[in-house]
Amino acid sequence: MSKIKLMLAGFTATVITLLIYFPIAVVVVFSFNEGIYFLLPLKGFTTKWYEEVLSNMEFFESIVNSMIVAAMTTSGALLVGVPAAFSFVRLRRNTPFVGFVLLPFLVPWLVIGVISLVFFRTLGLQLSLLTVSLSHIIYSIPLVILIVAARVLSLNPNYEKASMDLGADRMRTFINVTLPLTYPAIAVAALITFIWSFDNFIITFFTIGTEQTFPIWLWGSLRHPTQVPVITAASSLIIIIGSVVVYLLESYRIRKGIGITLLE
Amino acid sequence: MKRRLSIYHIYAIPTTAYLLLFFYIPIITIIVYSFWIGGPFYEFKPGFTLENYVRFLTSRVTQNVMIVTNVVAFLSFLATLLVAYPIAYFLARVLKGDTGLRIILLMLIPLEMNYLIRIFAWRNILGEQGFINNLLLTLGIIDEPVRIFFHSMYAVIIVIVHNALPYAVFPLYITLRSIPQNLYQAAMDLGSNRVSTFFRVTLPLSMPGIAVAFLFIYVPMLGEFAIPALVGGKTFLLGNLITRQYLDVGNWPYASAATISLLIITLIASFLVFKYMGVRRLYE
Amino acid sequence: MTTPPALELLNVTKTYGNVAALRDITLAVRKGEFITILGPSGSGKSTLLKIIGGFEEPDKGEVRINGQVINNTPPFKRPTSMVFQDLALFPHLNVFENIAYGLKVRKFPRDEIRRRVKWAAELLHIEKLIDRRITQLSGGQQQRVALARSLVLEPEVLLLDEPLGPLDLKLRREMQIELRRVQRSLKATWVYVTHDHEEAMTMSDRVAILNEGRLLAVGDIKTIYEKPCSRFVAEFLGEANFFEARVTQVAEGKTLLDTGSMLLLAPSKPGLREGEIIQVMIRPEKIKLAKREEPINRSKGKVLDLTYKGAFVDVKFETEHGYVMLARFTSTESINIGDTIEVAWSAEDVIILRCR
Repeated sequence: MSKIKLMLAGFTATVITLLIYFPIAVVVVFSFNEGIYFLLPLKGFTTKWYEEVLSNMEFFESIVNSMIVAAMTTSGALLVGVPAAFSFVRLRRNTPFVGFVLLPFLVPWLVIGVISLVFFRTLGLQLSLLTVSLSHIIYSIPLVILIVAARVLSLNPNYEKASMDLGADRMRTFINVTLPLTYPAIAVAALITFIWSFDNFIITFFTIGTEQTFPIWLWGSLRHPTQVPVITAASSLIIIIGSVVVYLLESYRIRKGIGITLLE
Repeated sequence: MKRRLSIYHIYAIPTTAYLLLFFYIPIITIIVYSFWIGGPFYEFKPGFTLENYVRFLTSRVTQNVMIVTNVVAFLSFLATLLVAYPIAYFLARVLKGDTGLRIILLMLIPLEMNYLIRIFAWRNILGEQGFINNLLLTLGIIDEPVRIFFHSMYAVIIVIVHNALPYAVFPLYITLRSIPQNLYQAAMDLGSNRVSTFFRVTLPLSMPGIAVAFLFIYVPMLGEFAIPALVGGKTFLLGNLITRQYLDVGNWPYASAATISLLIITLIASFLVFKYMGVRRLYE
Repeated sequence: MTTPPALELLNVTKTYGNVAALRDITLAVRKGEFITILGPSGSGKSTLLKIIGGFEEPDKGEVRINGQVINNTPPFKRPTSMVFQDLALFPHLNVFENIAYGLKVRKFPRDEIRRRVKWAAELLHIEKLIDRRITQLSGGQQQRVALARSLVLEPEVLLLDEPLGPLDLKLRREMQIELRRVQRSLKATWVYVTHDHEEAMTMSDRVAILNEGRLLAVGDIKTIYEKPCSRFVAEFLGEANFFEARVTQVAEGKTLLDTGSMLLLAPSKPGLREGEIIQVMIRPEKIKLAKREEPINRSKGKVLDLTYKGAFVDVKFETEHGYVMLARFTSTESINIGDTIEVAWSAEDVIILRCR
């Protein structure tokens, strides 16, 4: 048995290093390399690609635009989705309602992208960062609902009963008891939505106008071979900042035991 | 009995309204478009015809695209599962306590960031000018760049396995963790050795995890267009076809017919998974 | 030579870290016997069962079945079968598939599987449930399925790990009788683990009492109940009055004891020396309402409390010697709190607590 255990441990370690971390490490290492291509041996240490990225206006604008989109998406999705999470918990055995709410979560992003494109164009709406957010919210709603509902489900229903027993009406109970207990899940849902929206490429690709978000900038730059070192440096920046954010988020999530309804 | 409209119905109104307006009405819109009379360069006219569907379902080219798309999606799912299952098994059954979750966290960190960056990384590793070819050339193992890694279906699958791994490991880990230890002991007590216990108890009971992994991997693949475009070479999937028809060719009715077909496949796959693979039972 | 015992444990010892779970357990179980391992939680009784089933290996000692040492034999090759505490029925299989599981993995022919499952289902009266899912069964029905699943394998020794725990009292009584019926009809060897001494009394031929990993007493329950050899065993099996006393005289198979304020006459035990301090016990139901002239094995006291228990009433009273004692009378006696009662008991009911 210990032989099998050892093999499994080795397999896990190998996959995590070679399949998951190696490609990312390569990018970070080459971002400090003098040469343009990913060629060995390394040509020498430089930070010039970072200087180039940091003076690249398009890159900066794309980051700002991504932030704007992510912020709009997150506030919209929370505003609409959080109340629905409470409905979802009560109505979770109502199959048509569950299907209605979860369908956007199950269809490929491409479908959300193209139906939004066609819809906005048919209405004659100008494509912009706002249309990007409007389409992002479609997918974010079920995401928020699943995360928040899982938390609400795991709460002891006696807290609410106790509060009402002690004389608080429904509204006061909701504000004083239910909401504070649900708050960590709402925070996690907000962060996950923000990161997802910041990063989303496929839906954005269809619903964006003339502006660029970060993934769109990346997509455009990937087609120019001369841009390789700049992308490498930009990617490394995002990798490092993103890792810190995701690490903090995920450890918070594990500590608070916040999951997703579908999996529990 | 009178049906009372409770506060919980009222809470659902904003979401219902939003999804109706921005999701369901747009779907109806493209359903309408899919019956219009199609033509390239945005020259399509209102009307009612089944032409677009007939063309999409009968053309050799699209039939091939559908087959390739499903093959790639299925192979990706299978490859991911083969890699993810031993890992999830190790994390859930061998490691104690929360260590498994911490390792999953370790896998999630690099994967919750932009997937174009990761595609970019793989391009520079697997490509003709890439890291691996470069390494093999330097070491003198090969004389000219190997193309099989890159601009191929295999590259697409490798990138997808990389992308999808945590989405498979996580649900498998959760279901494997939720199987009571006693069931393994009972199986052994009744005469099952380790192999038989795995196939008769562990695997059937982890089906819900496999089903969720399927939803997270197979279905999104049906609409993927960026990965094949960047690392797939001549690989042309359904996502690429729909994108091209909407944005380059401009034949909305035909593109809409293709999208509706994709949507129907998605619905059938999700329905089957929920109905027969026991996902529902997980939260009852 | 006589046939070897169905199950034999020889000096079985098991420690976790530096906590001793089992210390030097030696026990033999005859073929066809229903033995109950009785002990409080944490006494090591589940560990003992796991060692017999092969889920744990002892640090020292041997486990033998029909004379053959089975240490280091994995569970799936042992001729034992376990009914688990939480039953461990397979949720993805229906009743038939659960019962047939062990036969299937042993590659029994299909007809034989069907025949045996039918036999077990009839034995336990679950033939009508055979196509149900496990989740559609009540607690009692699940017990029967779990039992059937083990019985079809005709194990040399059946192990039952407190399987009746989650049931309510009435159903539990029913299942106890049912288990006993099945065991008798099969003449099978069963090892049953529980912390409930009433359960042990209802079902078993013999009881083994375990505490802190040590086997304190083995025998039929009546003997152990009436003549326990330690205070733990006496208390574990029911209520009793305990006294500390000095041996004042040993003669003619009788021993005279002095608690300091009260004189007791008890049957003698070998090895008693005059002057030594020992523990004695009197069961409450052995105490009778009676007047006795000589000042031995009698007392008088004021009733402090009454507890009705159906046909009996438990009477707590403070004696003239300064003890609080408990007696059990039939409820027809008219006794009220505050009454003065006179009681007496016979010498053979004064039990000297000493293990050999």
